[in-house]
Amino acid sequence: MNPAILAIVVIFTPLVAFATAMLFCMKAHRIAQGLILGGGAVSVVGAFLLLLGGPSETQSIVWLSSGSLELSFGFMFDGLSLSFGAVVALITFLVQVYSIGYMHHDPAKTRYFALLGLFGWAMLGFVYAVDLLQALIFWELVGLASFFLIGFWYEKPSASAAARKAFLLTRIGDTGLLIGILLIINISGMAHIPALLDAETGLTTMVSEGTLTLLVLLIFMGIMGKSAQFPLHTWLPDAMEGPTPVSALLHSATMVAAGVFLFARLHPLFMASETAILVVLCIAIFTALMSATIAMVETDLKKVLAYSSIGQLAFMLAALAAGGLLAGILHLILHAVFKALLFLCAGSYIHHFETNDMREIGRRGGRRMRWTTAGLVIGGASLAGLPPLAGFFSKEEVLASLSHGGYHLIWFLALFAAFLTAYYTFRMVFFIILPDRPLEADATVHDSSPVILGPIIFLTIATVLGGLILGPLAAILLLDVPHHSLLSMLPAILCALAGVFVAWWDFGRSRATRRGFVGAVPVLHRLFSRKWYVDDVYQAVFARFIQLMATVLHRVEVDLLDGGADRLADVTRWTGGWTARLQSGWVQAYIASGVVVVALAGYFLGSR
Amino acid sequence: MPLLTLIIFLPMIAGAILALTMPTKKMKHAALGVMIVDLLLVLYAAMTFDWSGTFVTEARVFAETIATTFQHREHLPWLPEFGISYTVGADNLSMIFVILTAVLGIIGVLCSWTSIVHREKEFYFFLLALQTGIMGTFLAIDIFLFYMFWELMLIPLYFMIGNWGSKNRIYATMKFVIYTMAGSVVMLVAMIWMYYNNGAYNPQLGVIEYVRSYSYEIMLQTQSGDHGTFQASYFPFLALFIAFAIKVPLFPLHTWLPDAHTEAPTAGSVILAGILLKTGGYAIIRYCIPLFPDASISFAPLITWLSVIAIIYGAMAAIVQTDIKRLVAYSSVSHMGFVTLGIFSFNPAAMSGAILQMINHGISTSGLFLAVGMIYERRHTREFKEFGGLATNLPIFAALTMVMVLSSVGLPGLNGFLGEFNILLGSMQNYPILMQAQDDASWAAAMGMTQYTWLVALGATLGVIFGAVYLLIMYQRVFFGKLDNEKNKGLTDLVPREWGQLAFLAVAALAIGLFPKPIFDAMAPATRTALEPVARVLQMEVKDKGYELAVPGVVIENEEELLALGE
Repeated sequence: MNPAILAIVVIFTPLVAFATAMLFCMKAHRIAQGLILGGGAVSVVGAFLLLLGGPSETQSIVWLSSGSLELSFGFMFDGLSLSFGAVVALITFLVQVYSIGYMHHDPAKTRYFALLGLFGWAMLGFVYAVDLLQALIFWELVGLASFFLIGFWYEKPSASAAARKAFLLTRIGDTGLLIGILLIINISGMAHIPALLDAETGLTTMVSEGTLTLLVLLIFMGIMGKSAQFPLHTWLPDAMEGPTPVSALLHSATMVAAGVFLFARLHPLFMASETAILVVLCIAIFTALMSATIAMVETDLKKVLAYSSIGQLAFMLAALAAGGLLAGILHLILHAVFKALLFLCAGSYIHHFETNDMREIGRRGGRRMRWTTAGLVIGGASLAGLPPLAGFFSKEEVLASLSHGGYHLIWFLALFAAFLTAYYTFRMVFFIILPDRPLEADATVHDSSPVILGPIIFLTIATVLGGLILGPLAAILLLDVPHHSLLSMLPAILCALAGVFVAWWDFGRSRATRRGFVGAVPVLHRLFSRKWYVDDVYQAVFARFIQLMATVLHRVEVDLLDGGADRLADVTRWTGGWTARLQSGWVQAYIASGVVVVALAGYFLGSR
Repeated sequence: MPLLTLIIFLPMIAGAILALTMPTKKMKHAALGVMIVDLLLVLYAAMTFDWSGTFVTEARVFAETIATTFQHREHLPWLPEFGISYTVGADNLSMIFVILTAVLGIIGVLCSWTSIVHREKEFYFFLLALQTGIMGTFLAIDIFLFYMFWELMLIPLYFMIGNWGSKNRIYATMKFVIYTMAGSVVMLVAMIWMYYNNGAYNPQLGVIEYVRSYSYEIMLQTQSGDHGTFQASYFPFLALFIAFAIKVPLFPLHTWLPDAHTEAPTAGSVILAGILLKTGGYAIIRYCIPLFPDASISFAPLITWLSVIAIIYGAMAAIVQTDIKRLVAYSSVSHMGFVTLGIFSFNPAAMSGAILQMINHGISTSGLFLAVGMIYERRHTREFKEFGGLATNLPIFAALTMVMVLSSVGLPGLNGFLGEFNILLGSMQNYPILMQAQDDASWAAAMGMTQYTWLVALGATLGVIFGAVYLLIMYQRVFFGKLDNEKNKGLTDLVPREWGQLAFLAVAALAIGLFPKPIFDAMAPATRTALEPVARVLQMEVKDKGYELAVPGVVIENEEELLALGE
């Protein structure tokens, strides 16, 4: 089949399902649910057919022409979009299945499922996009779906505030992205991605390195917003206000990965600028360390996972910036799998215990939910980078690409971040499976329903076997599979094991203090638990600054401009009143003034 | 058939007859009928219209025969001894706005359906008369006739705000009228100046040949060459521009707008925001730019800066409002700043962006005013703090308002984005006249821009962010959160008449956002016509600097001839 037709089916089926559900099925929850799941299934089948068909030519049509500029709408079928498109479609479908169980009792189910359809459309449209502007449109639509889903329980003020925060912070980044795209169009006269990336005639041949640095850094602003990198990361932890399946799908596996995807998509442009590479590396490694330290002291299960997402996205960006295209994409795909697994497990606990506090989940018998706990441990081990799970392979590639690129300091810091990751991940695992007091014989703890466990088990298997995709992925991306000796892998393995061990020492063993080693340094502990004060700074500086400025401008409006216009009117009224007094009806005054005027007129005329 | 005359005068004449003959209860139905007939006539005119931009025909103005690009043209010598004629005609630019006017006219009637309860006959008569004034403004191609229609727009709106407005209506309506009248007076002076000075230098005879006429077509012809008498005439340009800028409204002439919008009845706000502001932008594109290209270029930097200030200022002022309707009114200031920015960027992308932005603003802001009107009708207040959680019991309303908010915010995929995108893109493109003041080796020049355009684009982009801030805050305060105000619990969701209006605008927003090609194709000839005179002026100045085209995308015919004249 023509891949373009298949792509249209893959992308637009969720949209049709969304529109139908929204318009006609507001009362018929089951039908809406069926529609969205059907649409999701069609997307999965189509995306995998596309993947099996292998890379092919891009296809596009002219969407808009104004002046001399032509913008196109079409699809790219290279290894990157085919592989990530399949992952997105698959995880979207799994989360939809999971949501049947998770959202069972919610009265606004139709809206929820419809929005998942909207998200599927926007995300898939972004992945296959061929034109920068088309990509931007779907990128923003993804943000819109995220806005709605974070604020799904809009009655909760915290949820609707989180939704707004997410939208605004990503939009600050998107402004950079928009200016960057505008500049690229302004300079090159095109927005067609393959044409821009062309080594002989593309953007890199048109501009100096300095200009290119500015362009890619502007685009990177958008990536920082979407992929939650410092300093635009603060929306992601708050976004956990949304339903947990949404966190799994949007805020860890797919949507936040869109930034990394864009980076991979425009990889040649970034590679042409040394400065941009360094900036990206610095931001990424700082984000990785910062998020890991915050996760070390967080007790909210979902927030720990959210911070770990921020850190892993930073890892991907670091790998891509260091030139490891395969490493970055591999980590992108495998992280999507195991992080979705972790979130679905978290959702399974939260659905049952109705709390996000992992200590309480552990105390109330979280480990009795056997399947969920198995998924959590395997997903956690993968996140920590323990062999032979998926995360081990991808993290190993990431670290290798950093050391191959010659960024040894960054590599060392990344190893430390990997150690912290293993530490806080197993802190979470030990809180749940080894609670500080013996469990009561509570018979009500039972594992979740099959619709919830199905996706968890599927993703657990995928996490175990994920490392196998390395070869095929390299083949479809037309890259070579690197070979590493066991010795070069050793630091990563040791770091992961050390992290697990320290976590066990602090939280797992029977005489553990459960305070963690940072607890020994109160200053650091406060810094981490206040999330490095980023939110406080935002609150103090930006929010107040904008409010102040708006108030000042308002005064300008009321007192100066508007008041000025009113004073002008007063002057007119006053002059009118004053002149009106001349019409006094006092005949003597009329005659007197007449005489004066005639005398003056005679004087002037006579003197001529 | 005098099609355009019918389109213009049908609403007012039919309105007068109906007001005299109809029972009060039936007046709104009759008004709706008239608006629908008017729309059908407009659609017929649009279908028999040549949108390709290649249409040229011979036409008579008084005794002269000239070439004109106006279609459906009608010409009657009205006061031939004063050079005044009744000439109406449409080109791509006016046709687009006429369609918008006809559509919003229907919405204007529908949104007054239950909110206007006293003196219905007068209200609907004024609404219909307003329609006539607006249609005439867009279709007149004699500047004296244009002036008459321009003033005619004012009177019905004066009564509409003054009679059916909310509590501070007298202040608002006086302010609105005095502001606009002040502009009109200077405009009239400029038009009389144009009448006396319209002509061109004849090199063969060595004299200036004057043509005493108010005809826009004749002015276009005499001024199109390089010997027109309007060159270097800053006063009439400024006088016209100030009159139009008050209508747009451009900072700092905007202060009438928040009051007028806030106090007007919903239909008044919808027509005011949806169409009346557009007459300002339309008139700038129609009269200021082609007739006074030199002055336009000279004043472009100033106007551009004022536009950028308007964009940011309007947004900032909107953030601190506590009245929903005032907030939407200030958002108008911000959005219309984009329009003047686009027009004075002298670039096809920006110009089509500006026209589209006007259409978009007509859709999204009208939609927001409709929404505010629907809330007001239910609760008789527009204060934020009275609301919260309305999404719970008014889901349809919440969803449709969301679309309008997103369109206004400029979300890609909806219409608002494309207008702003094209304006930003166009305003970045360097226009060499501004390069003169700049060092070409600067870092900004590497971007294909000047430092000046760079700042402009940056400022305008900031406005895009702020737009998201205040509209989202407004939306969340009204619709999200807990439904905790007792008075809001009994509210009922929209009836079909209400959601029909919003849904129609929402569909229009989506359609333009997803399939913009037809509308951009329809606008292309209009932008070309408007920009050609400016391009001719710039071309002479930049040729020796080695630039290919002064205005990217606008190719000037007979360029050799032009350059020969320039030397």
